[in-house]
Order: sequence, then C-alpha cells, then structure tokens
Amino acid sequence: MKEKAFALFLLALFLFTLPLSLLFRGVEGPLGLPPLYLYLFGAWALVVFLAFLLFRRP
Amino acid sequence: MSPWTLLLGLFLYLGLLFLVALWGEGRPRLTQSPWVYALSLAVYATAWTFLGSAGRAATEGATFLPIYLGPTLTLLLWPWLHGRLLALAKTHRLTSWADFLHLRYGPGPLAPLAAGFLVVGLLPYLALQLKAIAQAFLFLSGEKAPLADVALLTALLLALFAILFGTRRLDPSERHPGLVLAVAFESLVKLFALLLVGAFVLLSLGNPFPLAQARPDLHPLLLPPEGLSGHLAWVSLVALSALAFLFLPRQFHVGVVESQDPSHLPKAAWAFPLYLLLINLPILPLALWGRLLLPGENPDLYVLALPLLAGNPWVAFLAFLGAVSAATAMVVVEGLALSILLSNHLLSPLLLRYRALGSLLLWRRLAILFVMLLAYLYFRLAGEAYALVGMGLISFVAVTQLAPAALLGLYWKGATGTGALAGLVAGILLWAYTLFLPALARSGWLPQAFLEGPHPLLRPEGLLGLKGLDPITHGFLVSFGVNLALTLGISLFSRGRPQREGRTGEVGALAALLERVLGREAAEGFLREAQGLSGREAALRAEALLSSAIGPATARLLLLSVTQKAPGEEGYTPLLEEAARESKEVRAYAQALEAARRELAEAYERLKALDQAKDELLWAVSHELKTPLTAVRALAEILRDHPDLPEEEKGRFTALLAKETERLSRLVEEILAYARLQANPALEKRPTDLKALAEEALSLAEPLARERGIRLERALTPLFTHTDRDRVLQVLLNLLTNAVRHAKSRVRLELAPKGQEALFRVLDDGPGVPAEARPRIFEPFQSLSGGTGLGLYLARRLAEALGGRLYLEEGEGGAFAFTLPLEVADAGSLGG
Repeated sequence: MKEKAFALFLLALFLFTLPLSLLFRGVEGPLGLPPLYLYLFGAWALVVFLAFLLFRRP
Repeated sequence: MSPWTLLLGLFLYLGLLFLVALWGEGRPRLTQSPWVYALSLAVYATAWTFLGSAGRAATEGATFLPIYLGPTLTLLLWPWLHGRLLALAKTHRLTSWADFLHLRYGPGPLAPLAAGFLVVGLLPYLALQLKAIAQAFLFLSGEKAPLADVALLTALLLALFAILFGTRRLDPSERHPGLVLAVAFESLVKLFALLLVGAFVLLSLGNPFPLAQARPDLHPLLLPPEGLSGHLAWVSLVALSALAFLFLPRQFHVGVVESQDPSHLPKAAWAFPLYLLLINLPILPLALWGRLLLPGENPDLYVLALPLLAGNPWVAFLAFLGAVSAATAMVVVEGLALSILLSNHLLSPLLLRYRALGSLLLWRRLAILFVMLLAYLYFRLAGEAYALVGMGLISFVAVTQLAPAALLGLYWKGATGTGALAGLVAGILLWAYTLFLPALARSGWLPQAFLEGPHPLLRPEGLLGLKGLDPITHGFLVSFGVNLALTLGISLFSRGRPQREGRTGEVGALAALLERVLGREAAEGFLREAQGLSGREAALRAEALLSSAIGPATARLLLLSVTQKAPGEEGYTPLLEEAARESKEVRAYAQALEAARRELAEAYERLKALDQAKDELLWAVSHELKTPLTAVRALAEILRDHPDLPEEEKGRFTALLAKETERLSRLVEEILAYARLQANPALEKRPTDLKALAEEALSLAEPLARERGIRLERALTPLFTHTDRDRVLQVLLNLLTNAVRHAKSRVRLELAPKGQEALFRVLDDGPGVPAEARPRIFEPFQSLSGGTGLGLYLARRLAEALGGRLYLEEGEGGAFAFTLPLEVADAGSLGG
C-alpha cells in the first residue's frame, strides 16, 4: 500500500507540476474547451480515480 | 434584496446549523462515519473558494487551481503523514502542531512561539472570511457601506457560534461531534450551492468559452502562466497549498483531533480530492461570464452578481448562503483551534502563575472572541486593499513556517530544538518582512517607502535583487527556504536534545489533581485507565490528559506538585534491563519448580495407587489362598480324626488333598511370577526366531490339547526380532493354555508382520469372553475358568514390558492378539 501510494503521489506531482506553458499554447481544444483546463481536470480526475482504486479497501 | 430579508435568511440558516450541531452531539456513531470525516476536511474550502476562486480565475487564470491540487497530493501521502500523526495524537493527546513540537523538542520557547505566530499568521485568513460575508451582504442588499460595521457584526456572531459549540466544557479529548457534523453539513451546502449557481448560469447565459476565445484580452485566462517565473509560481503554489493543508490549525483539528480513527483516512484520500474537483468545476465558466458581462464589478462577487444578472435573486441568495456556510465553518473551527493553541501554550502558564486555572474555560471563550476581534482589526487595517485570495495566501505562507521543524522532527532523529527554533524565528521574521508588513504598507498603515526597503538588495518583495516573482511566491520561497536551511544546518551542528525528566506518582494523587483541573468525570476515567499501571505510566497518562486540556507546559508544572523524579533516563534503561533479566530468571526458576511439584504430585498419586493395589492384591491373594488351605486343613483333619475311614474314602480324600495342594502350588508360582514382574528385572534380549518360538509354544501346549481333544492349527510367517525369548514364550503359553481350556474343537495360532510389529493371534472356537467380563478380563484374580485369575494380568504386563501390547479382539470365540516390536539387532545374521 505505502509503495503504491508513493508511486501515485509521484505520478500526481509530475502531472500537476510539469511545464504547462510548453504544452498548452492554444486556447481552443476538443469540444471548444481550453486544452489547459481539459488537461488539468482530466489529470486530476485520473489521480482521484487511481486513489479510489488504491484506497477503496482500507 | 432587502437587508432584513437577508438578515432573516442568515439567522434562519445559522439556527439550522445550531440544530444540526445539537443533533450531532448525541450521535457519536454518525459523526464518526468516514463520509462525515471526509466532508469535515472540506472546511478547507472557505469563502476564498466560494467567492475568491472565481475572482482569482477572472484575473489570474488557472492559478486558482494549485490551491486544490496541493491538498490532493498531501492526501495521497496519508499512509506516511496522517497515519503517523493519528498514532502520535492518540498516544499523546495532541491538539495541535505546537503540542507536537513541545513533545518532540521538549519544553522551551518553540511551542509558545509557534502558537503565537499561528494566531498572528492566520489573522489575514480570518479577516478574509469576515470581508467575504460583509461584502456579499452589502452587495445583495444593494448597499456599499459601511462594510466595517457588517464585518464586526459577522465577527461577533461567528465568535458566539464557536463559543457555543467549541467551549461548552473542558474536554481532554477536545472532540466536538456536533460541531463536526455541522461542518460536514456546511460542506454539502456550499458544494450544492456552487454547483447550482454554475449550472444556473450556464443554462441561463450559455457556454462562455467561444466568446472568451474570441476575445484576445481574455486569452491569458485560458493559458498557463508564462515563462520560468510563471512556472515557478505555479509549482510554489502547489507546494504551498500542500503544506498549508497539513499545517492549518483547523485542518489539524478536524483531520486529527476530532477523528482519531485511521480507517477513515483511506476513504477521505479519494473522496476529499473528488470534492475539491467538483467544487472547482463551475469556477472558470463563472469567471469568464463575469469578465464578459460585468467588466466593472469586483471579481470576488461574480458568484453573486451573475445569478442576479440572469434574473434570479433566489439563486443569488442561495450563493450567499453557500458563502456564509463556507466562511462560518472555517471561522468556527479555526477560532476553536486557535483558542486551544492560545490557552494551551500561552494562557494556561499565565493562569497557573496567578492561580486562576479554574477559570480556564472562561479564558478560552474570551480567546475566541479576542482572535475574532483581532481578525476584524486586521481587516480594518489591511483587508480592504487585498483581494480575497491574496489575503489567504499570506496566511498559507505563515502556516508553512511550521513545516521544517515539524516534518523533520517527525521523520529525522537528528533534528534538534535549537535548529527548529532558529529556523522558525528566521521564517517568521522573513514572512513578516516580505508579506505581512508590505500588506500593511499597501493599505497605507505603513509608509509606502517601506516597499522599497533600506537597500535595493533588501527590498521586501525582491530580496537580494530578485525580480519577476510575484510577492507570494517570493515570500514563500525566501521564508521557507531560509527556515528549512537553518533547521537542517543548525540541527547538524547542535548536539543532543533535551531529555524529558521522568516522573512517577501515586494514582490517587494524580486523580485528585485531574479532578481539580478537569472535573470528577475525567478523574474517574483516569482511575479506570490507571488500574495496573506503574507510577511512571500513570504520571505519563495524567500528563497527556492535562496537556490536551491546559497545554503541555502547564501540565508539566502542575504534575511537579504531585509527583517525584523517577530514576533518570540514563540509569533507567540498564536498571530496566537488569530487572527484565532477573525477572526472566525468576520466571524460569518458578517454571522448573512448578514442573518438579507436578512430577512429585504425580509420583505421590502413583505411590498411593500402588499402595492401594498392593493392599488389594494382598487381600485377593489371602482370599485365594484361604480356599484351598481351608480345604486342605479340613481334609487333613478328617483323615486324622477318622483313621477308620474306608480305603476308598481315604483314597478320594487324598486325591482331593493332592489337587488342592497342586492348586496352592500353582497359585504360589503365579504370585512369585507377579512379584518378579513387580521387581522389574532387566530383560534379557537376544536375537529371536519368532516362528520357531511359536512352534515351541505349540509343542508345549500339545499334551493339554490332546488331553482335551482340541486340534492345534498354525499359520506362521518367518519373523525375527530382538527380544526376551523366555518371556515371549511365557505369554504365548498363557494364551494357548487359556484358549485350549475354553475351545470346543480347535485353537489357531497366527504369526504375521503388521507395520513395524509382529502380530500373534490366538483364536479358539469357544464361547468367547462375555461382554460384561471384557472390561475386567485383564485385571488380577478375575478368572472365568476357575484359575487363579493372574494369568492374563501377568501376560499383559509381560507384553508391555517387552514393548508390545496384548488385547482382546472383537468377534465370535476367543481372540487374543499380542504384538511385539520388530527390533532387528543384526539383520545380516538373522536374515531379516
């Protein structure tokens, strides 16, 4: 559990702090939504989902 | 909206919260639910989230999000951070990080300094809540002023709420289940309200993204922060919020103090980040619509203004209640946590000095009021110059100053009190110089020249000539960096750490002290817990209880009056080890003694049984001997007294005499054999051919069989073993003669291997042993055929002495089985 939690923490840290300005230069993305926010909320949702899978059984 | 309608709605809502809190007081099971725990953590989302996030998104773009990404990261580390904290808090009754610092680094200025600094550092954050509610109230009521009056009223109202539910009594556990339920309820309300406002605005006004994308001036809101400084600010905000989530007093209070059940954490680790994600979904659309439609409005009020613009004041009112909800939860819990901090580390020692500890509860209530009034004062001094988020971030940087001392103290044995104190002092000074004082300068309470600093390298918002960083990132990196470096560096160069002096005391005296300070209930609870504890353990337990209520420093002082110094730490460990070793030896000796006593008791019982058996045997032997002796005597007397008896009669009597003496002789022989067996002589074992032995036994029994007309049959397998040949023969003869006596026409002797044993079976076609006689058949003097009754008893004892068994088989006729172990002495010589 501890190792997996730490691995998930590192993944989340990477996803949340990578140099976003190098990746998201446009204001319009899929469905007309800003790609930056699609990425941030998508990465966040992914981390929450993985945390759910990891921690659902105490 | 009419101010009175707003006020009425506000009071009704607060009344509902009172009811929820009251209802929750008596339902600890409900308040200990993992969902309530996860929702109570959402006290993190304050008026800043509800109103300020949209404001920041409308001016700074995506930088409103790191404030929520940080706590997500912190919660993923719960197996290290929270798990350890919960265990520590449970053992030592910690109520704050300052308690932990006291516990970790010992008595000294560190914990009181941390407590005092947290109160000052959180004033901007508390002021932010007052400002948010006051602004919202005035905006909805259509007024512009006086903002300060509404903020004062709000401060007093929230202080009253915190006093009512946080300081009803002095509880060593510092748990308030009703308050926790009210906070969880408020978390649901603010989430529901913000999602509803977002959905309403989107449905009413439509999708703002195409319009925003068509407006180049709004593009910065849709793009990430630019350049290295932008990236640095982003990463700093993530780290800052991750640490702040851990070190905010209210988060410690709801996350650690109110719930110490570690099983709640796994659910909270994903449920709370999900909550944050959901509550942030409507922020950007609201911010964009605000920028598009309300260019002149204060961005912090977009959440209220947009529903009004869309023509629905009731949704705006709901948004107002959501903002009030968010602010109330934060202020009440933060106020309570800060009052505990103040009273434990600053007030209690003072009250003890002036012998006024009995009024601690009153002082704690006054502390809440004092903190709220200070927050109001800060709002009057600096609040109007700052946006909501800006004020909150100053407090975030303040609470992170505890992180180096606390986290290093938690995981690194080398951290010292000197290092922690140096780091904290430097961090506080730099925080004040780079963030707190510039805030006052920008508000006009300090000269503007202060912002330029005494030297270009000492500019408060650009130390060492740093440029391009926003004030928050700059203040955080500088103060936290120096704090961390000093804590680490000085710890490495300062040796040792203060040893806590061990105390020991009488349980009764400790309970009396607890009763004086915490009341009878606490003393009774302590007495129950202290049963079986040593004086040292009881003193530690009492100290933990006192610490959580009046602070560790005061608890220590009070404890000195009823305890005495225990053996020192240095001498204690060897003493303990010696005691443990001696105790181990004594235990081993006692065990050996007990084993010897058991053996002695068993031997005595055996001796008693043998003695009884000997008596019984003597009685039985006497009885058996008496019958033939009486007969012999009677016959001899007849022959002596009647010399004229006919010859035929004399011959009959003489034959009877011979028969009885023969019976006597046999009896004496068997008794002698029994006596020999009891004497346990050594066996004379030698290699033996069992088949030849069986043949010999059969040939010896042959005359008797022939006399009785019994046919002897055999089925013998060649077998060799190492045994006492004569004794085996004795057993076989006994079984064979018994069988011949009872058989009708035939007796069969079998010899075959069975496992590691040789099995003899002696079968006859007689009536067999009656069922009622079977249990007694091997007991001495139990004869079925008029013999002595010692034969089978002796045979079984012999069989057992040879390492085998003798038993009666089930079935028709007589069937005795006799086993012998197959011990081959010299396989080569015997061919086995």
